Amino acid sequence: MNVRAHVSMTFHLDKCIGCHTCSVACKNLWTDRKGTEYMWWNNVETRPGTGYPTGWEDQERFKGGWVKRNGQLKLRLHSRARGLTNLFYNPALPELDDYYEPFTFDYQNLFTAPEGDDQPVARPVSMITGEPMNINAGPNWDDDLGGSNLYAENDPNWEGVSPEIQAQMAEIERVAFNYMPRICNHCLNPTCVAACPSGAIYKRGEDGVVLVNENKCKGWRMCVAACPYKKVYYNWATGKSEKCILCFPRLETGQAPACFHSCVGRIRYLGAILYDADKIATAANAETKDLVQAQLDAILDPFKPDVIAAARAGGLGDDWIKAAQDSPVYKFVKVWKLALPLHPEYRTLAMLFYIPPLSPIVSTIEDGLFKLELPPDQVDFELFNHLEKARLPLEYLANLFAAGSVEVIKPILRKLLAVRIYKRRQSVERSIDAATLKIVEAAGTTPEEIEAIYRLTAKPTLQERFVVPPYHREMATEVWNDPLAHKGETGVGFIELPVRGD
Amino acid sequence: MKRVLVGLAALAGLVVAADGAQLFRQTCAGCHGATGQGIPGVFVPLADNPRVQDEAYVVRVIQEGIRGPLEVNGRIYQGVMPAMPHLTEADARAIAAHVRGLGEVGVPAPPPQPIPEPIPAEQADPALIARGQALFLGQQRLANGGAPCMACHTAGDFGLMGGGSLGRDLTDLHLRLGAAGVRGMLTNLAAFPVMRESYQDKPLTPEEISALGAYFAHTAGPPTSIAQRDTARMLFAGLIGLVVLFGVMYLFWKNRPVGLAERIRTTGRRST
Repeated sequence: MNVRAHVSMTFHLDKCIGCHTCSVACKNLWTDRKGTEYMWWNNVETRPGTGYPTGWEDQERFKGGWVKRNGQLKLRLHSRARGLTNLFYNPALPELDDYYEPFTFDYQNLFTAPEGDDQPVARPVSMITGEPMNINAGPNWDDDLGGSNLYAENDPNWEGVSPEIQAQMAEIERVAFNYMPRICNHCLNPTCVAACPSGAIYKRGEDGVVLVNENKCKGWRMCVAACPYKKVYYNWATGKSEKCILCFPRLETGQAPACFHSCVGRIRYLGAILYDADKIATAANAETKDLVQAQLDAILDPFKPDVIAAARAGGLGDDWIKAAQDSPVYKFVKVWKLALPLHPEYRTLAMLFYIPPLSPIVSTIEDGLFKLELPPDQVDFELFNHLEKARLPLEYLANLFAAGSVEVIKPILRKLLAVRIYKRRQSVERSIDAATLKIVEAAGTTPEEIEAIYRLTAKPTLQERFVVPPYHREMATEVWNDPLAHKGETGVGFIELPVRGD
Repeated sequence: MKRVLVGLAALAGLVVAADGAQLFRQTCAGCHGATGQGIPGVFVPLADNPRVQDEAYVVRVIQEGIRGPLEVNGRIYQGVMPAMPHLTEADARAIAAHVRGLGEVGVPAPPPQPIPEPIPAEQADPALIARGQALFLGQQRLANGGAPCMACHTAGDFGLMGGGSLGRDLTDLHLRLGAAGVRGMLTNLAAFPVMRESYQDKPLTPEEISALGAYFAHTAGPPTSIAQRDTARMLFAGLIGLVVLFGVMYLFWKNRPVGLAERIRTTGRRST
């Protein structure tokens, strides 16, 4: 057992309201520089939809992630020889059209326009050419379905969903969508690291944050193509690749990352988990249907004495083990088994886990009246037994979070529904009847567990949502400098900017 | 130090320049004849030419070149003499002295001859003309290793691409200089400043001169019409090439990968 710690994440999609505060917080903090205008290390997508960059899940086009060939994991992007021939022209790279042309508005014109018959306007201006432009794409262009079904229709996750259900989703009274915020998944088995010809990307030992070394990056952009989530971006100004750094300067000072901290829906949870590094290869090589379970198997129980002993032997301090025990991520992922990695079939072992969303019941219009497809008096109970009547098709969610396996998604939705039914009974009727308890049992949970899930879902404190382990940077500093002196000298000195081609 | 060097160089120049007769043989005799008799109608005679007595004039002509028509002793000469910048002023003076001496030696000026008619093409040996063309085009090496004429010149019709365009079109060479003039020039290619670098140690052999002479006589004709025809052909071919090029580019452009966003925008329907 090779126990390591990983600062991991959970996003509760049922709570996301799609306000983009996370994106804006990240943009203001990290990507408001020249060359990063089009980057959204954090973005919020409407699902079903094509996301950002448009259609990023189409790996036939973008060639991200791993594929299993002859029992071995290979980059989908290229073999070594192919990588060499494609060094200077990589057709799998997303283009500006796949992202969008960044724009701003000519606000100055509102103040300086000469007197005229018309109200002055702020025309959109390209942030690349500086010329006036017509905006026809954006990072959340299909936000709330973008007023049409075009983008939702082109979602790659419809694979395997029957055409009738897809047609239903196109009807206005049956339409449904949810939001999916995305950041770098800080994978356990990252393809960006594997694809980098310069060895510039690495996974930090202490917390598993995947970082690009800007001094080593030579701008080959293999990581951009290889990342199946398209979360590495190329900065055209510095000629280097950049990606989400999980706000590690904030983590190291005990704060949650900016997108986590600013989340108004409080959907984001951050905490350390312990995992067995020896099981990474097994988990990444598992059969497609077993991928989720294999990844969960690699995550260790931080309360088990042998795990604690192995963690200590591996150099983990007691405070990190304590943080792993308090971690909300561990609870959601491993204890309650509610959270799943996004697209486990990419075999990168994403360490950002999503709690899939519940959705309303399919309805039709008859004689100008809405008619639910389930009896309205016991809607919750009926839905519990007829999850296929939920508006977001199970197969669709399975394609997103479970490599197409409905059996993985079903118990999670049932448990989430059980929590909802139980708490609704409790708060509305002030008593729990036998039928509800039956549902709770059928969902494989207990009233105590439901209470715990409810507490962490609905009323968590900041400290419960973000359990940032102590980083002890002063101890790391001690190796080369007096920690107090280092603290005093912070911000003084020279910053080496990344140089193109260097 | 610099002054000493300049002095040495000047001294060396004087030493080199001393032999006017040799310089004359190397640079002048090809056209003006070994005894300075000239070629009637083309290159002026130097012996029995009153103007060569003016040293300053001769030096200037050597340094700057001169262009016909010139009148000497009542006859018109149409030839062109290039400038000889490779000769130092001392060299030019030495040549001028030698040229002045040509008349004094008492070589009688040859009696005026009628301008010889260009050899009609029918009279030349076809094999000789073919050899001349081969030499011109470089299909056959020049014996002493000089560059083929076509590297810079064109003469006659070489099809679509034509010959070299760096140097003068030699189609009308024969008309301008006549057989003797052509022969004289070919004998003394090194006289031309640009050609000197290529031919000073690689003179043409007598057979090559006669073959090229025959070729020039064969192709003799007005040069402009050929140049115009070639230009027209080139433009035409270029136009066709352009159309083909754009056609091929269009095929590539049509089949370029188009992003999903653009497909959705343009077609407004599901992509496959």
